Amino acid sequence: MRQMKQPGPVQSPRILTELCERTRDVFITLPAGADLLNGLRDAVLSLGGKGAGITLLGGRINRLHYFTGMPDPSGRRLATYGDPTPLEGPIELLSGNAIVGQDAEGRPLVHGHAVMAEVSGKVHGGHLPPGECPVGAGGVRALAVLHDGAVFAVREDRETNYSIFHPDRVTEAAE
Amino acid sequence: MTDETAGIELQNGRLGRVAVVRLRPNLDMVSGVEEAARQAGFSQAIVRSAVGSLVDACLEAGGRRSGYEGPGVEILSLTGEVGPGGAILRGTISTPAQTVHGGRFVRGENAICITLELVLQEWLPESPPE
Repeated sequence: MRQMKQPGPVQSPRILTELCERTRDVFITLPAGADLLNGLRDAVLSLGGKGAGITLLGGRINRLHYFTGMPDPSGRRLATYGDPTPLEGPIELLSGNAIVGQDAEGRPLVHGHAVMAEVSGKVHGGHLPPGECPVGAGGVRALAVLHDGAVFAVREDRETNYSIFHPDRVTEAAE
Repeated sequence: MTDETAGIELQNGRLGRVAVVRLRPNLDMVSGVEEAARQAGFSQAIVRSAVGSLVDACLEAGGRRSGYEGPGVEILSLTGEVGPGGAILRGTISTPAQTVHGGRFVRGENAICITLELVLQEWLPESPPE
């Protein structure tokens, strides 16, 4: 297994784990016209949730562009996203995962990757940007587990030189 | 008439607590997910969601292993469980060449690149596995 040196100092612990005692399962149906990722975020917020793990069950997307990873030519980071790949719809969303958490200011943020097929059947996949994936006819279905007590929150990670999700306890005062 | 239920195993139970997890770079994903479940105190668990990337990927499908070179292999979907025998994880990836592949993630061969954001949920069987 190839391991590669990151640009910053190694951080510890290597596995960050926070437990949530209270959970709630919700089926989400996003209607045509909703944005895929922002719609998932808003669905979780509408239930009073601060964090959720989401399984994309499928549906239709009108158009999108996605990103795949690549080595960072600047050397500032080990890997980065390449140029966006546009897909004209209708696009069939096949599967994927998304996580709802909070940005560095405590505002809701969603991060998602997905697999999708174009009309020819050719399969694509990558990182999907919020606000850029309008849901098509028939909608999109997803299963979410909402969790209290701990959420993903964006923090600067000196090791990778990215600001990314880390598990954070939610204090009672903030709940 | 043959009994089509022969060999089917059923386990009653319910889902329990959730663990919110980050695996840092260069950890092996399969053993890292197992260790996260152990830290959370889950003897059985399922993956509810996961978003992240790998240095390189090694997937097995139908007994054949295939390797995909990164860094920056994106994990597109991850499904699977942690049980008494360890973690069994399957899913799909995209490569820097923008191709999509799938299979079972091979233990010891899938180092985390930037991060793995993971939501694990405990499975509580009515009768614990022997």
